[in-house]
Parts: sequence; structure tokens; C-alpha cells
Amino acid sequence: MKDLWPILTSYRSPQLVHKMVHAIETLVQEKIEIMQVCGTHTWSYRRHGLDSLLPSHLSLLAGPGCPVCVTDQEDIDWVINLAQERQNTLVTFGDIMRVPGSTTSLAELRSRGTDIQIALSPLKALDIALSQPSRRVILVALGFETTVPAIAATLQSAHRLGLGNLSVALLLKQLLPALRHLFNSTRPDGLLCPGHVATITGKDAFAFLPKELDIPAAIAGFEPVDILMGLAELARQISAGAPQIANTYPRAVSDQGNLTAQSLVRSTFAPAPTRWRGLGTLDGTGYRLIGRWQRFAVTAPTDALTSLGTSQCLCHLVILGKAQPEACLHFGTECTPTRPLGPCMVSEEGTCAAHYYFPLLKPMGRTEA
Amino acid sequence: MPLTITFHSLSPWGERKHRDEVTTAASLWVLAQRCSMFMSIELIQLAHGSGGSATLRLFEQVFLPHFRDLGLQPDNDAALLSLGNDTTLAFTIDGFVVDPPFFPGGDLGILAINGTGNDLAVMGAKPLWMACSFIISAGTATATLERVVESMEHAAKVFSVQLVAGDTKVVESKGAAPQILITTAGLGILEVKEPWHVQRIRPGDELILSGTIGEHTLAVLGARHGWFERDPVTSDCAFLYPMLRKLHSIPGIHWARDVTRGGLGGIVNELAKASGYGIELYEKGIPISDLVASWCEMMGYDPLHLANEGKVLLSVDPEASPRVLAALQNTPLGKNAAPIGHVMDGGPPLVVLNTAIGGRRLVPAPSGELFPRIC
Ligand code: SF4
Repeated sequence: MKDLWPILTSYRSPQLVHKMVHAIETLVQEKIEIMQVCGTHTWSYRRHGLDSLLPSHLSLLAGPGCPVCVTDQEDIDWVINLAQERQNTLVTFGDIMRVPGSTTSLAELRSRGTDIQIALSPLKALDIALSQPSRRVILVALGFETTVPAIAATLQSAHRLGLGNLSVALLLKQLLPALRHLFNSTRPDGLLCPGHVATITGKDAFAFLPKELDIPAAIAGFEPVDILMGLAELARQISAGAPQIANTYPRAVSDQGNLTAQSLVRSTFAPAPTRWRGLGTLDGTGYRLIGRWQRFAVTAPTDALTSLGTSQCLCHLVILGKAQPEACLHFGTECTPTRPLGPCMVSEEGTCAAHYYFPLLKPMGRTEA
Repeated sequence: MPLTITFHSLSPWGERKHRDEVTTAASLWVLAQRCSMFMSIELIQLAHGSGGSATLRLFEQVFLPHFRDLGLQPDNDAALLSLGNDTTLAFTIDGFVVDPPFFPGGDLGILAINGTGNDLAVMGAKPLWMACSFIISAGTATATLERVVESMEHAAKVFSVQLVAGDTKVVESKGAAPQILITTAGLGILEVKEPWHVQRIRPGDELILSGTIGEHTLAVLGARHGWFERDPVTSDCAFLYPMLRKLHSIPGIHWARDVTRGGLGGIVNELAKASGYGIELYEKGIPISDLVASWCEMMGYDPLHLANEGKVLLSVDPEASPRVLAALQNTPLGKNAAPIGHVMDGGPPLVVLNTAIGGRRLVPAPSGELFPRIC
């Protein structure tokens, strides 16, 4: 484990960073807007203080790449309802715990004694289901293309173990097809694409961005030098006026992606419509279980729950790059990571949280409320 | 929009380029802190015990209004009580609960002795006497309790602390896993001429950290969640008095604090708030082991927000700094001591980090329970 750090620091070299920043400064002469699809990019960018180094006319917009943030309010309420059913043990990833539902949050329920367990890996749900056979264990499956193979693997193990008391509440989403829908209404100059999604899907899966949508795109890793390489590549494409899909993260991403993971996913799931915060229900952007795996599904009620929602929260605009967190009246006042009003303030990948934690600011603008 | 308030008059913060950024950030931050003060707390949540802004809010809303006029000394780890005959006592109390009670490098019993001892030692006092109270939930295995008590005995003997009084209560466990909660009160005698006190902090002071950060939280979380198959992170849990005693004769030490709950980021923010000065840190200078740094990257934790149980942060006159550093590095606990930043001239009371790659950002006070990230 300890070897990870020396490897990472090689992507944090101040000399290299300095050179890349200089290269970007030369390439970016006029105002450009780049969307960081993934919250992990936003987080790393701010945490390392990259914003204090780059030219101010290079602005970065948030995108829909934080799984918690794009989860619809109704789905949050659904999961909260599931937790409240007495026979259920809910197993979730940490981030969703504090997202406020219409009336309460999972964290609040847990502090009142509701049986909710935080898992680092979906496989933990197997242990819990095995050790507590009388409980109905529900794994809240939340995430993008990156997480889906792990959920598929969990179900396959559950099947092998003959577990009858494990089910999954499916909130999985496909980021790639969603980008098509997104660009009907937003038009950044370039797209910094998430390296971890591309590790699974491969570079070729992103090719439609320049080909069909005419948007410059670069797949980038998450270390400062990785991000700068992606930005430099985008700046180059933008100034040359020649959109392409570039892979600036070749140490992890191949053209085809992880074929084993892809076939595991195909044998377990089929595409299905799903609800996105801010975007509504989009065809082919979610997953449903197929064949013998269907028995694991807990399905969301078809008659939508009445969600009161947090109507003044701008998360639905923030995740589409249409508003900066600072434009929200609640940012940093009523809404903080301790008492989040919306999901973007909860998750480490949430834009509001990144801006709250690392508030070295350039003037913020651009709200299309 | 309430975010347009600026505090341009507040401070000369480094170069002009940075100053504007920081003042805008400052206005936001200060506003955020203020507004959050007025929000009422309906239900106590785990975040309120994390040592971050939620804990502060609980303290300021619930405790401070009632205890303010009763002699409370809230800005230091221990209260100083002068007996008028050249003797000053340091007095403190702390509660300990940890899940699991045993983890690599320490356990609940050792924590209960060290934690309270350290709160006295960082004032420049010698920890001498302690009293302890046990709240044990029904269902706790006696063997577990015995192990904890044995380690307390061992720690107290090694560090010549007398355990002079105690109390035990048993409570219902109400469906939750049984737990032991230990509270220890400690009394010591001040050994330094001028107590190490937040009011003595001066602009230009150098900040010295006695060693690597992040071990304790990772050791406990790792033991709780079964992360360590090999390469466990070992808690840095330690009794700081033997190391700090070596500094007693050095003039120019203004303030010291053990870097516990809330982590370095939390403590430095408290320092900024209590002293009224801004703080500048250098990420490159902050000691961290490869193992801890690697785990933090894996789990998405900011090491600045992880707790330690055997580290001290000192604010010292720059002239005294080489002596302090050398004295620390001569002790086993302080061998990795390093200068990590300094106290700025003026406010706003914020913490700026110069990142390892050459950027700058603010370090926020930690805000709540640590949740592992999603992917
Ligand atoms: S600051 Fe809070 S309320 Fe505003 S958009 Fe972000 S999460 Fe929503």
C-alpha cells in the first residue's frame, strides 16, 4: 500500500506543473469554458490549488459526474423509505448518508437507531446478509460505469452463495449517454472526461463527443499533472478548431477499455430509462437487471412519491454547469457540509462541497436560473 | 446575494495577487461561520463530536452561554489555576470512547491516560494526578474491561501518574453494541515560567509540528472496518510529557497544542480563530508517512483532518525555532519534527496552505463525521 504515495507524487512535481501551466497560458488567449464532467476532477483541482495558478480566462464548469449529486430527489426519498421499513438493513456508500430527503436523511435516521450500514465495497453487503439471515439486506447501488462491474460481481457472488435475503436498490447510471442529453442545453468549449469511467468503457466509447457533437474532449487522470495535461490538450484542440477525443491518461485507459468488466455488466444488466436530478428521466442512461438476476431487484414504486424537494437548492443547475455554487443563496450559510441542503454539498465529489472546502476564489459568474 | 461583503481592510496577505483572492474567500468564510452560529441544533449527531465546526457550534450554542461566567478558560486544553504562592496548577478533563477499543498501536485505556496527560503537558505542566470515571454499558465483557483497565495501570505507572479517585456507572446498551466510556480528569503543576498560552502568539511565530500526521484515525478506522491485511497503520498514541519537558528551559515558546480530534487542519483553524491571526502552512513541510499518505489517497481523506494522539504543534519565536527543533528531533517522539508554517501579521483568521505543486488554497475547519468516499 505504501508504494502508492511515491507514485502519486511523481504526478505532483512542482516543476512539471509550472511548465504545464506555462504551456496552457500560451495556448489560452481568450476566454474558454471547460466542463469537468467528474467531481473528482473538481476536487483535485481545488485541493491542489490549481485554480490559483491557471489564467483567469480559463473557467471550469462542473458537470453531472458526481453520482450522489445526480440522484433524483424522489430516489433519495425512496431509499430513505426503504431504510425505515423495520425488516430492512440498508447498506450504502458513505456519501449518500447525509443527502437530505424531503423529511429526513439517512444519517439522521441512523443516529436515531435505524439499521443502516456504511460500506466501502459492495461486497460488504454479502457479509452482512450472510451473518444476519433474518434481515432483508438492501444494497443501495449508486454510481456510474465505474461502479457497475463491482455491483454485478456482488450479485454473482450472492447467487453462488445462494443468498435469499440480499437485494439491490438500483440507482446506477450511465454517464456517457447522459452527456448527449446534456449538450442539448449546455455548450462548453471542451470536455475534461473522467479517467476512471474510461478505464472501464475505453477511449473509443467517448468518440461520439467530437464526431457527433463537435466537442473537443480529453480523457484525464486525477493528479495535478494529469489534469493539466488534459487541459493543455483541450486548449490545443480549441485553438486549432479541431475537436478530437484525446487520451491523456494512457497509463490507465485503453482504446477498448476493460472487456472483462464490460461483459460482466452485459450479462447482468440491460440499459433502462432512469431519473436524473435536473435532467428528468432519460432513456438508456440507467440499468435494469436481466435474467436470473432480476430476483435481486427492489424496484422503485411506479407511482412517484410526492417529494417536497429542496426547491431553493440550485444543485440541478450546478451539476449541469449552469450555476456556480456561490450563486446559491444558501451556499456557506444555511448550507454547509455539516448541514447540507442539497447533495452537491454532501459528497466529496460535489461541486458545492469542493468550493466550500477550498474557497480560494476567482470571481464567480454565470447563472442561468 | 449575501456574498458580496468584502473585508478589504483586514489584512496584508502576502502578494497582492493572493490578497484579493483571500479577502473574497475571507468574507465568504467569516460569513459562513457567522451564519452557521445562528442555526439551532435540534438533534445531536455524530458530527457534533468530531472536533470540527459542528462541535464548535454545539459549544457556542449550548455550553458557552451558561458556563461563560463560571471561570471557563475555553481557549486552552487545560485551565490554569494560580495558588498565589508561585505554584500554578493545570487542570483538565476529557472523555474517551473508541470503536474498536483495541487497535494497532494503542487502546482505550492508554488513550484515557495519554489524552488527559497530554492536555496538561501542552500547557507546560507536569501531569501528576488523575481521577477516572467509567460509564459501561450492560453486556460489556468483563475481560474487555479488564484489558482496558490493565493498560491504564501500565500507562499510569510508566509515566508516574497517580490515579487517585474513580467512579463507575453501568447503563443500558439500548440495542447498540456495548461500549465503555472513560472520562479522566487530570491535575498537574506548571513547570514553565510563562505558561504556553494562546494569548502569547505573535505574528511571525514559526509553527513547528513534532512528527507525522494521520496515523491515529487510520489505525482506528482500519481496525474498525478490517482494512489491514498487511501493512497496518499504527496509531501514534503517546504520552507527550517526556518530549515536552525537554523544551521547558527554552524561552520563546508561545503556545503548544496536541494535534488530536479535528486534525492539524482543525487545530490550526482553532489557533487562527483564538489568536485572531491568519496562518500560512507549507504542504511540503508537513511530515506524513508514505503509508498514511497512500491510505488517504485511497480513501479520499484529507490527512490534515485526521486525528493524531501523539503529536504536538508549537508556535515559537523565530529566533527560538532552531533550538526547539533540535531539542524535539533529539527525542524519540520528535525525531520527525519540522517547521510547517507561520503566523501571519493580522487577520482574517484563516489558514492558507501553499500546496506541494505550488498553488494556494484555504484549509477549512473540518466539518463533520468522516465518510469514506464512493469511488
Ligand atoms: S449550496 Fe447547498 S443549497 Fe445551494 S446548490 Fe449547493 S447544495 Fe444546493
